[in-house]
Amino acid sequence: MRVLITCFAVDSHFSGCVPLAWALRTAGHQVLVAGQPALIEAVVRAGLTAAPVGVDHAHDQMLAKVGADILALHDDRDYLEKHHDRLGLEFLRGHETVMTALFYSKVNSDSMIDDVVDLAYGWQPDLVLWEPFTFAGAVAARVTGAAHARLLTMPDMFLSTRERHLSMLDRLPAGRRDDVLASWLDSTLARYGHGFDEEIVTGQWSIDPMPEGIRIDTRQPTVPIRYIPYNGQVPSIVPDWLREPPARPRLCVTLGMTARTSNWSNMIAIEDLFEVVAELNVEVVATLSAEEQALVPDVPDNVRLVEHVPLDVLLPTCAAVLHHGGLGTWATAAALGVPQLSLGYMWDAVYRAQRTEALGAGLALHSSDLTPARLRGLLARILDEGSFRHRAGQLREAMSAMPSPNDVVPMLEKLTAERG
Amino acid sequence: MTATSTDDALGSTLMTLRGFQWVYGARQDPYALLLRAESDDPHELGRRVRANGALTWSSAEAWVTATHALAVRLLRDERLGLRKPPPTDSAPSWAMPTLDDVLPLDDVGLQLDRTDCERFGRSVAAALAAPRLRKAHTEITVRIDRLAAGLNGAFDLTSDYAVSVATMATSVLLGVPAAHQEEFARLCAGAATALDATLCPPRLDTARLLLDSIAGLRELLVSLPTGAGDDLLGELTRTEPDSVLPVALLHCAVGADLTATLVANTMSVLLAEPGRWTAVATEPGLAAAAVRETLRFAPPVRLQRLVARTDLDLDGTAVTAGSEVVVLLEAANRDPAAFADPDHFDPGREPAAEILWAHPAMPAGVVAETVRRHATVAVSALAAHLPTLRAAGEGYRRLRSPVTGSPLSRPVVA
Repeated sequence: MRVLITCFAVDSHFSGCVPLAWALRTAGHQVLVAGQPALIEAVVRAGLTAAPVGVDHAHDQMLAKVGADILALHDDRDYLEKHHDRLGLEFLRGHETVMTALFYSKVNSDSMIDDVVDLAYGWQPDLVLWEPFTFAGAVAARVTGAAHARLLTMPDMFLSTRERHLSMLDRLPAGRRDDVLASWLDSTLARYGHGFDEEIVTGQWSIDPMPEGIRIDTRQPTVPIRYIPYNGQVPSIVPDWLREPPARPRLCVTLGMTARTSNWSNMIAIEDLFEVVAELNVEVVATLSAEEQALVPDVPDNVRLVEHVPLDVLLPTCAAVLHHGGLGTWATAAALGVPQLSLGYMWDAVYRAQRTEALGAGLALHSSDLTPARLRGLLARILDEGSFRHRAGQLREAMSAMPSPNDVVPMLEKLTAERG
Repeated sequence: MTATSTDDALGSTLMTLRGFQWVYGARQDPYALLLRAESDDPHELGRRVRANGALTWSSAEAWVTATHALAVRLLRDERLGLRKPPPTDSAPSWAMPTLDDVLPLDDVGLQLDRTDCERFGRSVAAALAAPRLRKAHTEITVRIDRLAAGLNGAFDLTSDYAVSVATMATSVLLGVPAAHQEEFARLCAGAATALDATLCPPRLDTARLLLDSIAGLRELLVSLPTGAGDDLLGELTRTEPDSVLPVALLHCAVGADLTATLVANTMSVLLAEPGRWTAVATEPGLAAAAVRETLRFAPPVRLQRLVARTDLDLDGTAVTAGSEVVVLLEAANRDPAAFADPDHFDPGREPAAEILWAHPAMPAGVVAETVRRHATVAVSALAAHLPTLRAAGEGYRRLRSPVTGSPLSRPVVA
C-alpha cells in the first residue's frame, strides 16, 4: 500500500505517528509524511520520508495574541473533566467557532490543503492517516478516493464534544444552526467539487492508543493500538550516570517539550517544585531546557538537572514521575507502569490526570491548585503508598495487551481493501 | 459547485473575524459579549458597561458607552463619522482585513456622511407628509388591515405577519410595480442582515446572499420607472433627486427589516405581561405610544458604531483617529440617569430624554420615520382584529444579530 500520513507542524502531535509509520514500512508499505516545512526536520529525524506542504502556519503568533483567551474560553470543568453531556450550546458553538477560525483553518490553510491534495493526486495513496486536527488528510482522501482514518494520540475530546454539538444542532430550527466547522470544510471541499459530510471529521475509522479507562468511546469504528514511546523529539542518547542504579528512590520531574518551543505555557513555577523536592529523601532527575535552567537560581543538592534524556530509559529507574500533563510524558509513564503525579490545566490533560487517579495509577493536581503544601502531600503519597505502583503496573499490562503497531498493520490493510 | 477564490478569501476572513470576536468575550468583557450575541442578557451587559465608566475600552477593540448623556453627545459629534479613514502609513502591512474591507456596505448607504443622512432624512419626512403620498399611505393601511384580518389560530407573528407587512409597505411606498413585488420581497429578505453585518461578521452563505441581494435591489430599483409616481421615490425625484437611490436602498436593506423587528419587538413586549395587549386592543390609538415606548425599551437598532475622524479628546479620554466608538443605544435607553424606572415598560411615559435608536445623522435615521409609521399601522391592525392574541412558546432571533436582534420566529395564537 501507499500510505500518506498528514500532520500539522507541531512536533508533539507528530511523535504519536512515528511507531505506526515504521510498522507500515517494515511490513513493506510505502509511507510519506506530509506536513508544513517546520515539521520536516522532525520527520527526517524519525527516519521517515517527508513531503513539505503549504507554508509555515502562524499558529504561534496567533497564540501569542489570543492563546490565553482561547484557554480561558475552555476553562470549563464540564469540558476539561469530560462531562460533555452537561455542555450547553453556547460553549460548544464557541468552541467550534474559535477552534475552526483560529486553529483548524490556520494549520490547514488553503495553500496547505491544496498541496496535500496535489500530492495525493500525484502519489495516489491507498490510505491516508491523519493526525486528528489535520483535516487536510481527510480532504485529500475524499478528493482522490483513498481510504482515510484518524490517527489519535490523545483521548478523543474532539469527537466527544462534536457529537454533543451535533445532537444539539439537530434540535434547532434551521435559522439558528451555526456549524462553523462544517461550513469551513464544506467550502474547502467545494474547491474540488465535493461537499462536507461528517466522515470528513470522524474519518472512516480511528486508530486509538488510549487504554480502557482512559479512552473516550465515541461510537465510531475504532482500531485500538498499543502506545509505543518515541523519544525522537530530543537527542535520544543514554547518559553514563543512567547506567548506575539510583542509591535512593528516584523521582523524575519533567515539564515536557512543547512549552519550550511554543506559546502554550505550562503555568508551573519551577521554584515551587524544587522547594518541595529539596526536602524529600529522593534523588531527583529534572529535565529542563537551558533557558529554564537559567531561570532557576537555587538547585537543591538532590536534584540532577538535564536538558534531554530518553524518557523510556529513565522512567523504569524511577519510583514516580511528576510532570506537566503532556500526552507523550503521560503515555510513556503509563506504558512503563510508573506512578505519575500529573499537573495540567488544558485540553485533555485534566481528564487524563483524573482518570489516571481514578484507576489508582497516579494522582492529579490542577496546575492552578499547585502550592508547595499540596504538592508535598501528593508527592509523599505517590512515593510512599505501594498501591500506586501496583495499579500503574495494571495500567501498563492493559496497554501492553493492546495490539502492537505491527499487529495493527494487517487490520489497516484489510480495512483499506474494503474501502478501495 | 466550485467556489471562486474570492469566495474563499471572503469566507476565510469572515470566519477568522468571527473567531476573534467570540474569543474576545472569553474574559467576560461586556461589549465583546454583546457582539457575540448569544445567551447573555444584553441589559445586564449594558449595566456592566455603564458601571465601568462613561467611556471604556473593550477587548473587542472599541471605545463603548452605555451612558445616555454621553451617548447623545457622541451621536451628535461631527468628529465621529461612519466611514473608516484611509489607512495611514503606520498601519502594519500584515494587519488582518477588517469587516469593512471584506464586506463594504457603501452600496446600501450604510457609510453615508452625517450631513447626507440628515438631509435625506428631512426629505423623507417631508415627502411622507406630502399630499401626493396620501393614496400610498391609504393603500398601505388597507393592505396591512387585510393581512391582519386574515390571521387566525396559531401563526408566527414574524414570518406570517411582520415581515410581510414590512416588505409590502416598503414596496408600495417606493412604488415598486406589482409584477416585481415577489422578487422585491425576496431581495429585501436577503439584504436584511446589512445592519448587523456592520458589526458582526456573517456566515459566508449569509454574506453572499447579502451582497447578491444588494446588487439585485440596485438593479431592480434603477430599472423602475421612477419620477412620476405618487410615491416616495416620485416625490424625492421632484424635491431631492440625488437622494432617490440611497433612500430607496436604505428602505429595502435596512428599513424593511427594522419595521419587521419593531413590530415583532412591540408585540413581544405587549404579549409578555397580561393586561398590556388588552389595553391596546381596547384602545387601538395606544398603538403609537406602545411603539414609541418599544423604541426605548427594545429598540430595533441596539448598537451604533462610529469612527473617530481625527485624534480627539472625549471627556479627557484620548481617542485616536480611526478608532471605533460604539454607542450602546439600547443600554443607554435603560440608563436610570435619563429615564426613571427604565426597566419598566410604560407606554404612557412622557420621555424625559431623547430615545436613542435611529439618530438623524445616522443611516437608520433616514428610514426612522417610515419604520415608526409602518410599525404603528401594523400594531394597530392587530389590535383591531386580534384582541385575544397571546404568545405561544419561545421565539428565536436571527443568528449573529447584535445590532438588530431581529426575531426570526415569534409563535402566537389568536
